[in-house]
Order: sequence, then structure tokens, then C-alpha cells
Amino acid sequence: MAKMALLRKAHKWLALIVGVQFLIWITTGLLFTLVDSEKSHGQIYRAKQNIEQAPALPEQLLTNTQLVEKIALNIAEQSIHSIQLKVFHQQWYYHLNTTTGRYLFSATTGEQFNVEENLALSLILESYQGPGKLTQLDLLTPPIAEFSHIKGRLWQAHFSDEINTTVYLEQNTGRILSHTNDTSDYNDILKMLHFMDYNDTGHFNSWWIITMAILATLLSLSGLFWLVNSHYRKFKNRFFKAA
Amino acid sequence: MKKLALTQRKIHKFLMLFLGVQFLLWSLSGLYMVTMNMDFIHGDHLVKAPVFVDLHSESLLSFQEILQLYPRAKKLKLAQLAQQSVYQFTLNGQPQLVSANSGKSLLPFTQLDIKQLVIAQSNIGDQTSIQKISLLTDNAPSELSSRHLPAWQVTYDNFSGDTLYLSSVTGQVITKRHNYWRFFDFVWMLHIMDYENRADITNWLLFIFSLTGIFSCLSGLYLVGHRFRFTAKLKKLFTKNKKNPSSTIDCPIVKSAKGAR
Repeated sequence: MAKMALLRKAHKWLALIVGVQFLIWITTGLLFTLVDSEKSHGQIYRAKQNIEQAPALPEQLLTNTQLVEKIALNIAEQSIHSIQLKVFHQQWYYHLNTTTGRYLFSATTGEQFNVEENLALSLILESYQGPGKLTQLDLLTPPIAEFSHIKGRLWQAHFSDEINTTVYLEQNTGRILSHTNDTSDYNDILKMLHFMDYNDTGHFNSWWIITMAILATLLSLSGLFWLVNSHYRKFKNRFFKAA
Repeated sequence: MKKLALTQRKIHKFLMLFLGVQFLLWSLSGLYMVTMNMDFIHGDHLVKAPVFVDLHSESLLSFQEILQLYPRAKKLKLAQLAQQSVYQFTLNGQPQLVSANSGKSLLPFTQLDIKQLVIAQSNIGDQTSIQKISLLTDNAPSELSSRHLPAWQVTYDNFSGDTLYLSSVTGQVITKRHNYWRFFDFVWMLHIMDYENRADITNWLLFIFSLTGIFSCLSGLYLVGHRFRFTAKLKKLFTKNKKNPSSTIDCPIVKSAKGAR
């Protein structure tokens, strides 16, 4: 019986330490099941992108050696994964995918493409189909917390709709990265609490969550043992002692 | 107070009779997931670091030259496949792959080509442990997204059951799987209680279990409060303050608020 007393004591103390975190895990878990994934992925006011009709290819494309000379100033050569010939806004570009990010270079002049404020504005408005008005446009320099994997600068636009949509556009490529809103922010908060990722690292391998998970497992185990033991004893008393 | 604690105890015990096992499964699956490194689970260690295009190579054909060879090529892309540079493009919607040095087509791959490609790209030490190389065309295994089909599957006969999937049109490794990933996928299923697709976290079963889970957790927390006499102490403090209202003035928050006024 001393063993059972120890188990009960362990259950009590473990509950004191992880009880509140357990409640947070279950509550956020419950709220996850209720999140509208369309809203949280920011698709609600996102316009579908039209596929561009490609213009004729230019007579003379930049050769690889010419391209190397042009990009040498900005990009380390030993970092290019691939180069694709692409159309953007009726112009042909070399689209470089590198370890330091994505870049566009004109396929005829080799000039690097950058989204200027006016173009950013029109691209962002093109991608937005909600009722709100644009209230603010900023150029963000990395590191940017929500986009730790993006290494280039981003245009950020706020809209005045009921869910506070924010649109992000990559300056180097003109690509719309994402639409975020209150629901996605809410979802991010749930994730932060569930994964105990208070520093917003995007990982859930911190030592404190591992510790809590171990304690939570012990709490569940001790509880289950206790439960099984008490029912087993009742069962034994009823059927064996009576006989 | 004692009576309430007794009911809470009964509630806690009764609810846990149904939820207890799921609580243990949540804890254990959660523990496995948080202890595993995501890059490891994704199998990043199974392949070599990404390779880069060598634009200085003398024999490298330019985009223009490829377009002269294949005037109707679309989505033209220069990439690196193991040790050789290649051009990927589509011709009448059909994906193509040619050597960037000769312009000659590399497709379709033979089993031997795939073996060489996988040896060049994989980081798995013992290449003699390759067990089977097969082309999957119709049915994707559950661990491979069907949008990747047709694809080559390369299975290894080793402890972690490594399996690499290569694109049948680009020759690149597209998906990496091993037993730790498979087990992760399994515990993820237990964790979100979606036993069919292992993907939908907005399912009813999880909703009902977590909702009742909250109640049993709350009753448990009440019992913790009771056991450690937090509730008794709170009650004592509360009644004391009622009897002797002057003691509330000692509260620094009230004091400073008054001072601010």
C-alpha cells in the first residue's frame, strides 16, 4: 500500500506543476478544432492570380557569361540552385533561386529587378479583393519575425477591413508571399501557447516543452495506475471477499 | 468545501475513466513529437547538401541555344542534377530534361540511371543496402503525395527503413521517408484523432474529447487547489478581510491607485 500512497503523492505534485499547462494544451487544442482554415490561411480576400499571356521572346537573350558578370555584384556564384526563364509584367527575366533568396534579372539587359513603391502598390491591390482600403505601406528589412525563412526585403500593406488583412510582397521578385489577418494572428497565438514557443522560433523542441511533456506523461501514467488500481480493488472486494 | 471536493473527485475520476487513455496518448505522442528534430524527421540527413549550377563551365549551352534546339520549349529552367547541369522544360505540355552540355534528352530514366542518381544524391552511408528500385505510376503509397506520380521509389534495407523518392522527369529527390517519420505520422494521427486521413485537426472526435478533457482538467486543478489547501487559504483570507475591512488598505495596489487620484 505504501506504493499506492507514493503514486498518489506523485500524481498530486505532478498535477501541481503541469496542471495549468495541461489545461492550456487542451484548451488550445479544442480551439484548434474550431479555427476556420480558409480564414486562418488568409485566403478570404486573396484574389486569384491571372496567368500572364507570355510576350514573344526577345531576339537576343543574355548569355550565361553575360549573366554571370551582371549578377556577380549581388550574388555569390556558389549559391545558385536554378535559373528559370520567366515572364513578369510582360517582361522576360532570369529567375534565380539561390541560398540567399530569389532574384529576377532582366533577360535582355541583365539589370536586377526590384519592386518600386508604385508597382508594389498596384501588385498588392491586384491581389486583394476585400472591402477595405489600403491604410499603410512599408518596406521591411529582414529579419522579419513571421518570415524568418525569407532573406530579402518585403513590402507590407495594411488594409482597413473587419479582419485587418495584411499583405506581404517580396521586393526582389514581386511575388505575393501571403495574406494574414486577425484569424491567422489568433491561430499564431494558439500555436505559440500549444507549442510553448514563446520566442517565436517556429520550432517546438525547447527543453521546457520536453520537460513538461515528460511530466505530463508521468501525470497521465500515475493517474491511470491509480484509476485501474482502485477499480481493481473494488472488483476484488466485491467478488472475492464476499465469497 | 469538503463536499465540493468530493464531488470534484468523483467527476475527475469518472471523466478520466473515459479520457484517461487518450490523455496518456496525447502526452506520449506529444513527447515523441517535441523530442524529435523536425529536420531529422523530414529526412534532411538522408541527402547531400544541395548542389549549385556552375555558370563558368565552358561547355554549358545558353538558354538561347536550347531555344534554337527546341523552339517551342516552355518554362525553361537551368538546374543541377548531381554532377551535371541540365535544362528542364515542357514541350506541348510534356516535361523534358536535357543535358545542358549536349542538349540531348536524358529521359526516360532507366533503373540503372536512377541507381546512379540516387547514389550521387543520397547521404546514406551504405549504398549496397539498396533493396529495391521501382517506378510507381498509378498508386502512390500513403507516405508519398500522389501529385508526385509517376516517381521512382528507392528502398534501403537498413535499420531506419530509409526510402527515397525521385521524380521521373527531373531525377531529383522529391521525398525522403524513414521509420522515424512513419512513427511521427502515426503518433500525429493519435494526437489529432483523425484515424482516416491523418490531416484534419477540425474533427468532431477531437472536439468532443478536448471539450470533456477541459472539464476533467479543471476538476483536477480544483483538487490540486484543495489538496495543497490553496482553496482553504483563499477562503480564510477572504473571510478575514470581510470581518476586518481596514486590512484591505494594506494592499499596495489599492494604495497606489488612491495616490494617483
